[in-house]
Amino acid sequence: MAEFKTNPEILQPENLVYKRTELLTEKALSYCPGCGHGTAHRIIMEVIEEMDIQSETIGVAPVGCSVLAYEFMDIDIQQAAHGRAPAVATAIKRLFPEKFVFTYQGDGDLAAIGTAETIHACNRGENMTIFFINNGIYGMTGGQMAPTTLPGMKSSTSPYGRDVATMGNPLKITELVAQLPGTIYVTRQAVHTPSAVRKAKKAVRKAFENQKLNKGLSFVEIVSNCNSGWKMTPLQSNEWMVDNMFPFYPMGDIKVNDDK
Amino acid sequence: MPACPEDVIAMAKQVNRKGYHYAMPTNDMCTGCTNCAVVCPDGAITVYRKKFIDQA
Amino acid sequence: MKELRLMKGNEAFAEAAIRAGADGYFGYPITPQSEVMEYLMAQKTHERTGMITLQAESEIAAINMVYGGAGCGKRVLTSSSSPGISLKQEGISYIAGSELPCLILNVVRGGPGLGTIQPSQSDYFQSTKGGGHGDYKLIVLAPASVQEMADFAGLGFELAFKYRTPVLVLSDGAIGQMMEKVELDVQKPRFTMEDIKKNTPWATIGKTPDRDHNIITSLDLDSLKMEQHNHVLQEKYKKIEENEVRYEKIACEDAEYAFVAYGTSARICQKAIELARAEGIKVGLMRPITLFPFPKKVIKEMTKKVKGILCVEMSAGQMIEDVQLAVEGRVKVEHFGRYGGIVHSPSEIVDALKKQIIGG
Repeated sequence: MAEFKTNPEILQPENLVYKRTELLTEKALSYCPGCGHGTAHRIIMEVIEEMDIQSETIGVAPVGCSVLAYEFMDIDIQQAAHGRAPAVATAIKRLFPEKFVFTYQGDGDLAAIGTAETIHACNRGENMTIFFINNGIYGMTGGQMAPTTLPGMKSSTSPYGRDVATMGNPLKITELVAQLPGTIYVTRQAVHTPSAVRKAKKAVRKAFENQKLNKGLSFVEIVSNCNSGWKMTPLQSNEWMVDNMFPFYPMGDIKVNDDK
Repeated sequence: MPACPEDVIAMAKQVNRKGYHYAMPTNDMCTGCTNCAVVCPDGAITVYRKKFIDQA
Repeated sequence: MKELRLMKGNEAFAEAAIRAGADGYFGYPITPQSEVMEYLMAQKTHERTGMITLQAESEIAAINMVYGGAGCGKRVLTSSSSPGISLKQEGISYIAGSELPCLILNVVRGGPGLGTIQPSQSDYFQSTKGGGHGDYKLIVLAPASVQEMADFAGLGFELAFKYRTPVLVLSDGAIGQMMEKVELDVQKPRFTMEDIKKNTPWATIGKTPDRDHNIITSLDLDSLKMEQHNHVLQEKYKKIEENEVRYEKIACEDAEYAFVAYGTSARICQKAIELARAEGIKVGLMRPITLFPFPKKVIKEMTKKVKGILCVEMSAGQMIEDVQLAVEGRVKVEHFGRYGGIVHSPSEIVDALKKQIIGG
């Protein structure tokens, strides 16, 4: 195809309508091409930039594909042991109640090894935000089954498909934490289309604003594709996600309680 | 590229330093809607839109 | 104005931590140290100094809360007993690897496994040789009295921040539970934001435009960098070994034999010395106060005068290996100790001295 050249007249600062946020560092993302992590990182950092709270925000990165989140997010950030991010964040928030504190976790981190920390941080109603990136698989370690892997879904440790009889059903941790009085905002979003990304960003913004209310924890799940783990192309994985993940993990607000 | 309503963006035949076929604009039908930039996982896209002032 | 009180070991530690300017305590109940958290809760620390006291959902959560607070340059601590300390090992390795300061109290009970709630000294290896994965060391302070339980809270924080490393206070069920008179220090102020920015500029307290963002991590996928980081840690431990050895010698000037013992065993050895000397046996006690750094040079020096060393510890013999290394085969070194939760008596120790060191 022909090499297209941008009209240099248009490239004026007053014409700028979209630019990658300054709060993402210069490092090239290490995620697989097509992975939702990149978009999720981006919208979180865009919100922090728009709210002008870079110097008031402390993040906690997990173990998983996004263990290196601290390389890409230009804020003060701690890397936590697998599953323990909500505990790490609890201490930070208790010691610095006026700061904006968030965790960024995957499905193994949050719903397998970290289940106790997740539930208890939500139960105590820590005034912080948990971002839960759910792609139904363990990406970093090579595609093993996760607590949120769908029934019948193949993974490297469920090569014949998840057998509910021996491996249990997928764990709907988001619905579980919504039942706890300590959570004030629980929502499920996606980042695979522009409109989904815009909705997700609104949810991220609300989750951060909620910290000012001091009324409890905001929990934002982002259902994402994992083209590497699912062994598909990025486009196929997004379609598969819409057809299979969304019916099981429906989009939308599960709990919105800011009139408490 | 499903996000672009005007079919401007496509994957290049060449590969970049990381070995990937990257997204690139192929024509001048871009309306500056920012859909591509919003959905890009790498935040690689910067969008400029020239404003046309309505004379009416 | 220092304050004199009659207090239980665990409570003295807790009170001393408040007075040392602690910002946060995160713990979980386990016998024989639950009094630490109970005391802090009853004190309403948040009203007293603004210190946070939080009961976590597990020892694992507690140590990770300590990690989070330590990463922000705050004085944070946790306490537990042997099985709970086992749970904390991953977190402790992370804290050591990330070079963060914190204070951990282990009130040792009999083990292994769920064990018993009676005192023991069987966590020496866990405390000084590893415990968690990787090449790291903790500074280990071994109190032998309620006064030292209190003193080591403040000393622990000092050393932790001086070297950016976790400090473990290795107590046992007897010292944690016993009541003795203790002199408590005056209240030190907690760190302000300015203090944190000055003392610990690496802390994650919110990135301001004047600096790069601070990252607390123990991960480096570049192995060359990881090796470099390990060099830094090893250099640090060398410095600690050169500068922070602490010990006490009792009745060693004319001693022909020596006990080496710490904590409760050391207290009992003092009585054993009395009994032995009444029988004409010239024995002294060398009490390590820091188990890491271990007073190797002092023990080596002692082999010029003594003919044999009885290493007394409530375990199957753990510290004895460090004593043997220090002695370098010059004199006989034997172990004596009751374990599994039993505390040895002074006369048992004298008998062991006679049988294993003098007689054998």
